Amino acid sequence: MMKITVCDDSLMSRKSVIRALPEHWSDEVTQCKHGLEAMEACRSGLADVLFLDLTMPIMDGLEVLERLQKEQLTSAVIVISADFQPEVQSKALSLGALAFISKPVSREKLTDTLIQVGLL
Amino acid sequence: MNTVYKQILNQLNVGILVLDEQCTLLYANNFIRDNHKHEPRTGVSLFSQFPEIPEDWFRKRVESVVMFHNTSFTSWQYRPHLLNLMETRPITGTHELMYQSCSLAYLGHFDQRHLIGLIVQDTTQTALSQMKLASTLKKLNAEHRQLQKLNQQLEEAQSQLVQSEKMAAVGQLAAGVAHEINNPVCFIKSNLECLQDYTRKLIELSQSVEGLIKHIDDEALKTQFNQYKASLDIGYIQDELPEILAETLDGTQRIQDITTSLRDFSRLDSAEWQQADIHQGLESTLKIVNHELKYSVDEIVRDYGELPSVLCLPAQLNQVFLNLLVNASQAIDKHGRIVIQTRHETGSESITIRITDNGKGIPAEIQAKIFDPFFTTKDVGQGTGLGLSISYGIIQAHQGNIQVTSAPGEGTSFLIKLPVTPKRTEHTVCV
Amino acid sequence: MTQNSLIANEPNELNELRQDALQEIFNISMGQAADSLASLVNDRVHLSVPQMHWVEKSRVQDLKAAMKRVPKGAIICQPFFGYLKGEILVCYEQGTQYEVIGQSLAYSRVDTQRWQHELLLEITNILGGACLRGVAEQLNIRIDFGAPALIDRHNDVTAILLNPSSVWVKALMMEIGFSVQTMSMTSDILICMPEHYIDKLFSCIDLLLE
Ligand SMILES: Nc1ncnc2c1ncn2[C@@H]1O[C@H](COP(=O)(O)OP(=O)(O)O)[C@@H](O)[C@H]1O
Ligand SMILES: [Mg+2]
Repeated sequence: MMKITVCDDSLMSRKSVIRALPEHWSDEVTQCKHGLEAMEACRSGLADVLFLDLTMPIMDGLEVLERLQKEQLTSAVIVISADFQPEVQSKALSLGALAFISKPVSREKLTDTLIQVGLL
Repeated sequence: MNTVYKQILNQLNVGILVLDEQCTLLYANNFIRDNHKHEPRTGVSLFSQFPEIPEDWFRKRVESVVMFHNTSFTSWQYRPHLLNLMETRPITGTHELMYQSCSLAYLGHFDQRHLIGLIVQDTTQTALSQMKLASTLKKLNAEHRQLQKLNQQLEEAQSQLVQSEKMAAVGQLAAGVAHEINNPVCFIKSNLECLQDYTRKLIELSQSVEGLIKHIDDEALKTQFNQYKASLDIGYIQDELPEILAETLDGTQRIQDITTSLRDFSRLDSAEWQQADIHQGLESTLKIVNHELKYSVDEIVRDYGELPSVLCLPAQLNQVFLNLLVNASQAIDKHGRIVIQTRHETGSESITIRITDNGKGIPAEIQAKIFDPFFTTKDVGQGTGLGLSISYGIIQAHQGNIQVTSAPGEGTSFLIKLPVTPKRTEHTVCV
Repeated sequence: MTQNSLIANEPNELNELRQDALQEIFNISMGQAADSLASLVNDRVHLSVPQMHWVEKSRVQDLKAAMKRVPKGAIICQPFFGYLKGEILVCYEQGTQYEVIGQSLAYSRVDTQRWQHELLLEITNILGGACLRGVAEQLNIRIDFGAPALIDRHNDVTAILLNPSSVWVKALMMEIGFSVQTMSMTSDILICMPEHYIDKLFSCIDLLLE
């Protein structure tokens, strides 16, 4: 069973990600409101998989990606963002994100992506 | 059911076209078919049937409509004739082409094709009445502006009128007073002349009495007479009396001169156009302002040419001369010199009057303003700023013109040009 | 499954939930809009995160103070209707280089006011459609648009909102900045919905939040 962390400043978005997760895939879900909390979750081993928003207060998603690399934390990161213009996508992927999902998320989109990156 | 829909589409007073995203024309309702020059064929490119549509622009719009699943609009104001549809009234209509506002609407995805509807609304009536409204509004605005200008001119003229009425009133008063003074002065003068005559006779008598007494041998009487004569200072009186009388007569003459020129200056009879001698006007004006001039002006040079008599309102011209002379004297500090030059070129229709001073001059930047009503550089009480504007109005009314040239520090010269016989004098508004 | 929360003050107030949802719905919609607009004009497009303002007519001055930018320029308004009803007000600041944006929409000439105005109407139409399409999709409702119109050649939006004879009293306004850098084009979008329709909006959002 996977430990999952969902990081997004919007409660609705976190909820919709959690609702879209495949059944019986994870046993523990942690929610974070901004990047700093997400870093904390990763360090505490609460994030085998991290679903990460980009635009957030305090610390944004791209900075989280940078810090994870620096601290050599091994969480698998999937970016879920409202801004998905090509430049942003390639930036996120170059910083180590496994995949990029455009909002709004749906169960199909999420499942497809998880299969694609071999997490399911 | 399908036929019912088609029936409705064909009954609509609105044009409807259906296209796919490649702009292939799939359908056109009767409104389009009936009103377009050429009946469009379906199944071919829209642009082949409606070459008037700008293709690149239209395709871009179709692209955005398909992308956003929305509707795009055109308005008759910016794009009056997207399609060359004929105006629906071939008889009473005034325009050949129909004005249109169109919308390009995304209809949906059918049979692997995106379908788009072009809906064409006839806005000819609205367009025409709006355009009429706009042009009427423009006209109204122009008229409004003109009225405003006229109003302003009226106000200016009125303020000049008020001022000239004041001046006329003062003139009348002066003429009235002059007349009243003139009567007593007249009989004073004739009495004085009488007195002169009588005195001469009395002196003659006293002198002959004196001569007779010399030949009498009565020493006592002689002495008594001489004593009497000495005690009354008769010898001195005999010398002085004619002089006193002459002087008094001279003074009286001067009073009479002044009252006459006052009367001349305001010429109660001069509300009408008449032939007048400009030099006489200048002279009577000079007499009036003499008092004002004599302190600062050392010399008044009369450089008069030969002038014909001029058809004018003499009192008003005098008013102009007065304003110019007063201004000149006010511009002069001391040792002033005013030159009055008049000219008439033989054969010319007009005369010129030039009044030049050697005062402080007018700075170039205000030269354009000095004829404006209420423009003054003088202190309150000294100047009203009306003198030149009134003068300007008067000269205009005489169909002449007045110009200024001035060099600060050196002096100022006003040049008046007047026609000898102005035309249409009965119509000119005189201030 | 168990749920941890590292968040201290989870907003549990219903209205806060709704506001959060509304904000997110608009964020998502803006992301989609930016993507489509970019492909339409072939250039990178920037849409700012929408700022939500609750405004009463008597307090438009507060709105003016709270808005990120209140530029003056040509103001175009476009009504929208369907399940929700409101208006989009877009202000185009003076100094826009119309040639480039005009070219990208296949305008052969934008040299006169008349063409510039038509271009602005069309850009407004596209912006409005782009911004609200995502909202309509997420809420699963229909929104249609009326024709855009130029309502003032030079003013700021708050002056328009202050017009004493306008009918609105209370409204929700979303402020969005739009810019295409290489075209030196910026405009300010205000999506306005009168109070009455906000209840309907929230009932849609409640369905999503269930
Ligand atoms: N001969 C002159 N020399 C210098 N300045 C003059 C002369 N005549 C007129 N001006 C200037 O033009 C102004 C307007 O003259 P006027 O209309 O007669 O009004 P006013 O004499 O009451 O000021 C004067 O205030 C003065 O500045
Ligand atoms: Mg004067």
